[in-house]
Amino acid sequence: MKRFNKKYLVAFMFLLPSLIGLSIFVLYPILASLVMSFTNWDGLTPMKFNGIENYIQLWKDETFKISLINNFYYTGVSVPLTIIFSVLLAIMMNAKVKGIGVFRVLYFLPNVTAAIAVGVIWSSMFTKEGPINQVIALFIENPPHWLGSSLWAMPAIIIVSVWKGVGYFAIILLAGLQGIPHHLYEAATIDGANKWKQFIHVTVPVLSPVIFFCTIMAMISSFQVFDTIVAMTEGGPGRATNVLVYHIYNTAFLDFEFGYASAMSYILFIIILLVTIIQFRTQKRWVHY
Amino acid sequence: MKKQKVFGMLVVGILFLFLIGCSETESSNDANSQTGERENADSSNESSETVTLNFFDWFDEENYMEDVIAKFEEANPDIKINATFVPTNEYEQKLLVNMSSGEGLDVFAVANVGGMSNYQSKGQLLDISDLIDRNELENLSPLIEQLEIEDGLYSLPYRSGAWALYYNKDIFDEAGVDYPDETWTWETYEEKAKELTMKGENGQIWGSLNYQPSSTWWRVPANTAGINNPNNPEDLAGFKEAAKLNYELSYEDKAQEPYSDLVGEAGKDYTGRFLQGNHAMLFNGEWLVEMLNSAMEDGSGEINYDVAPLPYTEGMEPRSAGAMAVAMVSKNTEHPEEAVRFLSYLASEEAGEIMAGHGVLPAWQSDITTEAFVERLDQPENAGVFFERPINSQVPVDDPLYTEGMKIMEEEVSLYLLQEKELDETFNTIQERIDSEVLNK
Repeated sequence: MKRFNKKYLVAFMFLLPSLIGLSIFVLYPILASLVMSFTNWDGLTPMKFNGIENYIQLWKDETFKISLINNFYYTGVSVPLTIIFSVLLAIMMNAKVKGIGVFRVLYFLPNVTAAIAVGVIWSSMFTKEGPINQVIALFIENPPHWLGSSLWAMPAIIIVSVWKGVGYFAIILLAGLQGIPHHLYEAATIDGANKWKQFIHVTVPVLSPVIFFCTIMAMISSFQVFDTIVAMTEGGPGRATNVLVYHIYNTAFLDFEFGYASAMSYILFIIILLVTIIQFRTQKRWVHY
Repeated sequence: MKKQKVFGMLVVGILFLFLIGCSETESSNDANSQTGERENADSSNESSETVTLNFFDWFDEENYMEDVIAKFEEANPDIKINATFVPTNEYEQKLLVNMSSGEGLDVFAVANVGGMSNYQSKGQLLDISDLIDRNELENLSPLIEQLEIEDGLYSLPYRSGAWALYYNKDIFDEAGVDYPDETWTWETYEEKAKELTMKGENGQIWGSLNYQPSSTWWRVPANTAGINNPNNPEDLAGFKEAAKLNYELSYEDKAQEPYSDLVGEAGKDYTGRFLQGNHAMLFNGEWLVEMLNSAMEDGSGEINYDVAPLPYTEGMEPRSAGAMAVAMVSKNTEHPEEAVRFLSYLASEEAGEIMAGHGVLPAWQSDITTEAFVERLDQPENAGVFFERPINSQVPVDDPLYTEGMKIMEEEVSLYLLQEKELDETFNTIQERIDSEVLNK
């Protein structure tokens, strides 16, 4: 017993530096913002405790509601699209073609490019007579105004996010694909399954843990979308692309209402937590380990 | 037992380290903000009476402020200015950090009085009404009067923005329209913009240059009528007229590019668009002179332009509009007397002359500053117009909630200017949102 504890102690001492780091840089800010969310702190005047007033105020805050709805819209569309395209891309990248390595790098590139740069380039692609609309104009008469339209600004943001995110998840999924034992496909072929059936009944189920991981990661980051919005629309036109983190940023660093912004970020935290829990609960139905 | 004791000590130890960690992060913050004071200690070894003032300003002002500071230090050997120039988009956050620590900040500047009234409402500014020499600042007294809030004076103006009408002479000549002059009202502007819109040799010529819908420069015509605060219902009615004027110019007169064309890259660079020579007129501030001239020096276009007084509102005294930049003293300063001396120098004619020499319009308006501004310019010929008219402040002096109201107005009006909402609906929404989100928060 004694020996075990000594070992435990030594291990603990080795962990200590990172534990200290964790407490200072992660735990402390988390707790501080929790405390702050019950105050009306503006950064200057003394912090005043105001109970759950911030949280009550949130339910009356129209902009908060709009940003919440926009965020669910963004997540609901961008996450499935990202996952579907990533799976397809991973399958294509898995092909044994000469120079496939080059394609893998190319598809991964958007992911390592700064979001602000991506946003600026895409903004100019989405202008009224930009390259995208020139292509669309070949097929329909009045192409959308994209960033200049409340209706189309969010789809434009989603397109960029999917484009940027697909490469990353495709690489993860590719690793999963390469781990699928070949004999499963052989068995399926003997049973007379065509390529599509093999995909549905072999590839997807075996890959499902990886898809599950990708979905969770994509979902969490979709609730934190920020830089693309800043670079492309600044939440506009009107409030059409105002999302949670953007609204939190504005409240904290432009209006300097730190208490109120902390309350919002806790709501965001709870939302992400809930959605993740729901996903873990429902995974039994479709994830096969 | 023993094990538990060791473990307990360990936990206490961690907490202790954690606390040290916290206090260290705080004190290192202080150390950052106190670098000035340390320099103070150093320099006080050289001469025991030298006082160091920490001055904060944003990036764009560095080139002339350095000259101003050098001149000041020359004349005041007992004061050393430790200036920090912060990137514009981080500036307010930087100020906040320094204010909340209560140290390392003596004098600072903001680009418009909105920031000043915000800091004043939070009790961060020193009341300088009894500390300044009003006779010395006589020239500025109309502006100083505007800056007085709640029976106190918390800032001095040193720069005054002024808007004017910029026009491309060649297009006017081609269309056979007389150059704009001091008689122009906004009605004249609209009428002439229509006349000047035509098919030119190099494509469409627009009578008026439009900004992107998320900017709020459409509001300037309202500013010339003394309207500046969306939180005030009467002012909001005036802004409505201004929004309507801009809408008409785009969609009814078709004298400027529709807003949806300007979203994204194309809408941002008005200097570049004006230099392409396809726009007859635009209204903008005095800073555009410097931008146009240096862009032309860099070889990005060449146009023959001039400035005229900003059109005014029919039936009212002809006035221009502009946002005053002000400097103020932190209430936590340890050297109020020296800080006020520096502040007064920033507002003075001598400092104004230096600023004017850099193409910036000083608050101090006299022959000397006008000459410094005008003489260095080949173009525009009539640069004097910036100094001719009294200026309406574009920002209310006494409303800390101004920025929030403006943001709402900007969001909603952009939808109107993109033809997604009707005018009445837009302004009803603005009124409702201001009532619920700003005034009754």
